[in-house]
Amino acid sequence: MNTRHWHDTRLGTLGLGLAFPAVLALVWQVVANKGIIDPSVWASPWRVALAVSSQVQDPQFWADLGASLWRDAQGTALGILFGLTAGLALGRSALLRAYFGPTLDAGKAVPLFTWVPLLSVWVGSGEGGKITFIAIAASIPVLFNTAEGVLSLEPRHLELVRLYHLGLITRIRRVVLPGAGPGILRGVHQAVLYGWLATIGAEFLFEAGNGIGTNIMGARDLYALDVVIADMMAIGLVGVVLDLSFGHVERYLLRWREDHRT
Amino acid sequence: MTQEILRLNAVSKSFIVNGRKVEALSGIDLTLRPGEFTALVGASGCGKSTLLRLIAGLDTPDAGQILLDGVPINGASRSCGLIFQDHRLLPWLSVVQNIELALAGTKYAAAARRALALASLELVGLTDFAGAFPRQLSGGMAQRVALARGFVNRPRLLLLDEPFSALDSLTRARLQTELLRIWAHEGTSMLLVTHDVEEAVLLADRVIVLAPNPGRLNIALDIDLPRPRLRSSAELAAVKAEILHWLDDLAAAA
Amino acid sequence: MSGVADRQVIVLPARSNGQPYAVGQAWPRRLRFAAVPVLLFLLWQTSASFKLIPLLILPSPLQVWQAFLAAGASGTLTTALEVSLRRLALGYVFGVALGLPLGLLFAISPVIRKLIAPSFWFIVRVPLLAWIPFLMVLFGLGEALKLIIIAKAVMTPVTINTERAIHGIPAGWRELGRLYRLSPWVTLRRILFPATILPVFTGLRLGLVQAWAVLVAVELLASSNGIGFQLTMARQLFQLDTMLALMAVVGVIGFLLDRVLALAERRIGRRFGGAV
Repeated sequence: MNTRHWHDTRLGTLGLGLAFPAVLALVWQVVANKGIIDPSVWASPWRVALAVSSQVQDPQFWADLGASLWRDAQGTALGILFGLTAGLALGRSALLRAYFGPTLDAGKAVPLFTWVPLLSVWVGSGEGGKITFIAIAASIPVLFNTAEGVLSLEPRHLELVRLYHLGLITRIRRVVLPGAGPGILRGVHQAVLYGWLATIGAEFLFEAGNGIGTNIMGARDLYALDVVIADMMAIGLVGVVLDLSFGHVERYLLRWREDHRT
Repeated sequence: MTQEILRLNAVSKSFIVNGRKVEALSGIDLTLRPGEFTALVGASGCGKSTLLRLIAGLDTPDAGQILLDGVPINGASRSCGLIFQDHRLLPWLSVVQNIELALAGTKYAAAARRALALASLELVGLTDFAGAFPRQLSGGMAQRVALARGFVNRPRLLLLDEPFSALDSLTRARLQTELLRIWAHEGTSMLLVTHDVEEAVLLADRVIVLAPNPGRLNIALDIDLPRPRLRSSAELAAVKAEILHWLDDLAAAA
Repeated sequence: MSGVADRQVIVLPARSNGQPYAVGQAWPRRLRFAAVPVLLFLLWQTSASFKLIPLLILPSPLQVWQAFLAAGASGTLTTALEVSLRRLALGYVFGVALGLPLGLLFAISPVIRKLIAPSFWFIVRVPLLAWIPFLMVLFGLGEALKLIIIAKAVMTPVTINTERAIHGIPAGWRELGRLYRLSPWVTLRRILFPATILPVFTGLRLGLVQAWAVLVAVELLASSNGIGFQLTMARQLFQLDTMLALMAVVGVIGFLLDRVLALAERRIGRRFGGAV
């Protein structure tokens, strides 16, 4: 069972991972060159590559990406802040849990995008509505995971608080926050990803403004598939980078655990 | 009258289990002398740990009085330390941070706390592991850190709740010797709860036997064997046999 | 994923003094969950009665109820629901049909896993909505667009949970099968199936809940029928009463899907709970 295969090497793993998309792209290119697919709809990989390079040189693309990221950052930060506060309160208070828990659980089951039409009327279809929507999306995982994290604090650890007369600050800094840390970080990690998804969604569904979501929709209207794919890859790349970098932060902060492998 | 550090007057405690009231401790009277090493033995479930938690101020008795240095206790007190059966180190704090936790809220500045924690760590010979996380320690090392945390704020009385029962026998023997060394060095009064009679006889000046259902004091035995004591000595074996005999009788009576 | 309220059913550990934790007893325990919704409803009704917020922005409960009845009577609601639920069912079946085998393949073949998993992960990490413009160019606003999006949403948790379930089978159990020379069929029925059913079902549940959420998003964005489209229509016509009624319908369906499957999951957990 423990024999080492060629694909267990770093190079083998990398090669295999790249082989699939490479073969796919090759087939696609060949099919496009032979004119089997309609070139007015299907862009070839080569044209996509050209679109990527022209997008990268276009200041408008960077301005849009920057606008989206800034919007994402604001909404997500607000959402995390709210989710963290509410989650800590819910986790610590059985009373709050009894009154608000079922309502929040039910609210969580309402699909996120259902709120869009309502928010666009109540908060407005501009920047305010978008940021509110992103904040809601980000707050949900933080709230629930923080509450769970706090609930998972072990009584035997909390007992040290009494034994050593720990003050509020020490208690929160040394016992509650790190004890609930795995839950909180899981929530924040999800919030970062949800926030980015909600940013794109908000740019699609609320009134057009700046941002990469608006950019990609514009390209779609022009049937510029190469630009659409280039933008899509950019959006995906941001998602991957956010995911990986937050994963690193999470692993670093949870290095005291044995089972931090995911 | 001899000086006393701890006095229990008619202490009782009961719990509600499945809606039924169960008496855990009944009318406990107990006096501890300063600097003395006392061991409390009894079968499991006779309320030994409950008694320790009452003295530590983590629980409150239903009736009776607990005086520490002549003053009724009111919640956990700094002059009374507690070592648990599990090491109770917070997994997210380093070894030295865990020890410093016992000094949080004291008058010491951060640097002084660090120095005290390191000194205490040196006492148990783990200076090299100051920056390690608990998961990187073996069970015996973790329990030594717990000892260091117990001693760091110089308690008048240190309570030990079966501190070595989760360890393998070799590690246990080593830690028992270690504990005696630190006790001789610090002169702290000790109250050890254990179900290991040999441990009690090896370590204590006085062994108190607790009878079960409800927990109550049965006999107190002064162990005047000279120190250092040898686990293999015939005198120790004789005392141990005597106490085991008592425990058997108690179990038969119950 | 257990919610905040689920924690209520967990028996709290006895306090160190042996008494169970006493949680505030001001309200009868079983009714406390209703306090917040009732309060919100009263606030809403008060606002409507005294026109604290213009009815155009926040219609009265009665208006919303009438809008709900009207949408039901005219057939718009039922037709839209029929369209949406059919989409949901079809997309879900596709997603499961793709996700289960893929998760199985990932779990049993390291080569296939290394070949496909990186691409799979990249596709998963591209926010679902970013696929919509791409698919719109290729397939227009047709059914294919919606089915692909829903299937993708379902496939992700199903694949991940299936793979995890198979990896999670304790090695000792498989050894047990070898030790007693169990036939493949008995091994499957007595060891593999009970060991994996719960996490696989979790994937199926998450998939369905996500499918509903995504369906609404797609219909809001790129559809000419279905419940999401009706929601957009109501928004554009500024009929907030209809909009709120439709939102409630979407929410209730999402809630029921989640609850029914969570209940089933708990049953499976009780039956096979020790398995993982």
